[in-house]
Amino acid sequence: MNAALNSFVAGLLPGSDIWPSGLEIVFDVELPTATIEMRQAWEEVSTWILPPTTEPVELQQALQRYQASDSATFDQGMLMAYGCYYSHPRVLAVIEQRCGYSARPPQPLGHPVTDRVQVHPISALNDVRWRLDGTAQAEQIQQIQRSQPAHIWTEEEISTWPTL
Amino acid sequence: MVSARVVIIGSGATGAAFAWRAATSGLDVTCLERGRWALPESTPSVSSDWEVRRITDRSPNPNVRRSAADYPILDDTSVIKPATFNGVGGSTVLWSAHAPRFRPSDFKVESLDGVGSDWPINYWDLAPYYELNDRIVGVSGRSGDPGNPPRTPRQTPPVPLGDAGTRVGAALNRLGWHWWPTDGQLLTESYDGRPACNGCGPCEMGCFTGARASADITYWPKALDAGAQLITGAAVTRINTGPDGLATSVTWCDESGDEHLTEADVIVMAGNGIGTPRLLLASANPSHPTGLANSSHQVGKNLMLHPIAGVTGVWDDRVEGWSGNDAFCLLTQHFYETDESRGFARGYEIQLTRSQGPLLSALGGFGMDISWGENHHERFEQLFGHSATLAVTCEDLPDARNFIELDASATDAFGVPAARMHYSVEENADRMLDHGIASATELLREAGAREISTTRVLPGAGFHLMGTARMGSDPATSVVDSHCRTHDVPNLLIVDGSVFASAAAVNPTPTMQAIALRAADQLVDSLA
Ligand SMILES: Cc1cc2nc3c(=O)[nH]c(=O)nc-3n(C[C@H](O)[C@H](O)[C@H](O)COP(=O)(O)OP(=O)(O)OC[C@H]3O[C@@H](n4cnc5c(N)ncnc54)[C@H](O)[C@@H]3O)c2cc1C
Repeated sequence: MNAALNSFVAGLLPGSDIWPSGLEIVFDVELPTATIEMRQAWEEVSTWILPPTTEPVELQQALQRYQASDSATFDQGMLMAYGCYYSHPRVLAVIEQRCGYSARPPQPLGHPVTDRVQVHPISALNDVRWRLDGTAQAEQIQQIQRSQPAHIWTEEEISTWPTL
Repeated sequence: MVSARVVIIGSGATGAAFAWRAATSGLDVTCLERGRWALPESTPSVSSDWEVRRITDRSPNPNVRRSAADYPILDDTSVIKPATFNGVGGSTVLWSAHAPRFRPSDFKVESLDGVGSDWPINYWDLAPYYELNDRIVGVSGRSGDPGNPPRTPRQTPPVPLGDAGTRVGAALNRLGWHWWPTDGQLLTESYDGRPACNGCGPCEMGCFTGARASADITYWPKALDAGAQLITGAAVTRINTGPDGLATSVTWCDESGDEHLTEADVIVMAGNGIGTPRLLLASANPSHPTGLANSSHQVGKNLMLHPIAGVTGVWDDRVEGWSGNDAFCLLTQHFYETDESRGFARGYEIQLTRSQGPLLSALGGFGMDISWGENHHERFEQLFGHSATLAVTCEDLPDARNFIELDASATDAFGVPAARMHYSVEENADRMLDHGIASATELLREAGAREISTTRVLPGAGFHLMGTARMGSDPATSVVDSHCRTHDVPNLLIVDGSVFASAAAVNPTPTMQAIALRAADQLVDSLA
């Protein structure tokens, strides 16, 4: 395993009692669709001079320096590391437990909206407020809209509107 | 019954609508599409690496995705990057399906506000076509918004507001601002053989179930039934003209690079606001030395994209931001029309979008501050599922600095030069962004958000491509007339967002589709 990549991943995602560290996860995962930029950044990071994981303070400072001096590589490298980390079943299980999110792909089950509390747009209800465009058509339609707010319009009626 | 051979270039939102309408009227329709069918079952939303694929091979940015059908769009001269899809259904394969309409004033910006230019058509000309389009694609929503002209009952009820939507809606009521559940081309009940949405979230990866409309599953089956032909893997490399200056044929290459020529009586461009000017410029010939239909020098000019600010609120408790379609549920058009005291012309809308999945949240979503290192996970837990974003969509005005041109430093697989995108936010929209961000911040605070962060201009939001072959009555200053016929080459039509004379401050696709349907009817009338 490349020492610089090890340090990079450990510095980004040190982990905790609850969350696995990046080192436990990232190198287990392949990202076949990673872009050229992500792959190149990974290569580049592997050449960085980084303190070992046993020196967390120095490591953080070194990473901050790289982030400032070569943000493009840093960001693409981070994308690679996070991409691996956040698609791993162990991490998804923690997210599910901590955040109440059903950590599965969006389909086929979806994530239907469960909280169906709805509010109604009260402020607008009595106030026809679109701006006239200078045509007689607009004046006429706005008048009807004001006088018959509950009128249900049909496609046939609307097809009589064109002016040209 | 009229007869004519019509060749359409591009099978996206507008090419598909035009193909269906023209084929049902009996025209002999062939559509050439550079990409392939993107089957709904192939969307990666069923795989565990779905979020990675959203930013890699399924990215809406063709320069990131780099699929075989994509052509290069050089974007280092643009603060907003392109978002498109090349395949049957075009960019609607990846779109979010937020489907508001232009308002009447949007067609009259010059006469009402002294900015930009008026369209030679108005809202009332398009209204029947908006309705027709809604019926074909299926729209969820609620009719009766007093902030817009009337429309028919929507095909299905609006998408649920969910937790964040309910908070923001209540806050809008307290502030006394206009709002309404928004129209979307996304079904909440089954309609026309398609199912209801199950709220999976990332519409922009493609819709696995078909609940979200895209032109490949709405218009194309109907167009093919009506006799239209669709040739995929057919990249048009030039439009040819005859001695009388009329368009005669198109040259195209199949996937193996073999060249073909298809003759036509009428050629219809539907390649979108980048693909269309690119092909017109690449089709320059001695009779049309500056590009086809470009005697006005307006082809490629006046690029409008809608600068969009993302203002994200974070609540102490969860708002289940991952539930529901991600891009819309309600919008406010309280600041839509010109109010001179605000210091800018025209206006903006604010729509509520929901939050991102775990990976994109860990990367900061829309401007949230989440560090790497020791506090990363603590912060992740504070943000994930606790946030929602207000998107402030600003009208931008045509500006000489914003345009598409050819750049031969890169070409596609068939030797056609790349499109180069030049775009910066013009001054009026820049002032509007300040106002919009302040309004969105006020709204989120009223809705109880504890923390608010802002991305002033979302860099990836180059999906509303408008203005690059604009419509007008004067051939000296515009490219197409009110029937979408190019002034210079009357049997060459443009029916996509390129023809927009103004951008409005709403998502443009329903308006594009209404224009395409109307142009098809007018072509049929003119041939009768
Ligand atoms: C991520 C994303 C989100 C979006 N969300 C929304 C939204 O919520 N609401 C909204 O209104 N709009 C949205 N849009 C924009 C919407 O998709 C477009 O406005 C719409 O698809 C444009 O239709 P079109 O027919 O002009 O072009 P497209 O749909 O882009 O289709 C153009 C087609 O032409 C083909 N083509 C181009 N050049 C050639 C050539 N030389 N030869 C052959 N074929 C060619 C392309 O391959 C493509 O398939 C979104 C787009 C994206 C990418």
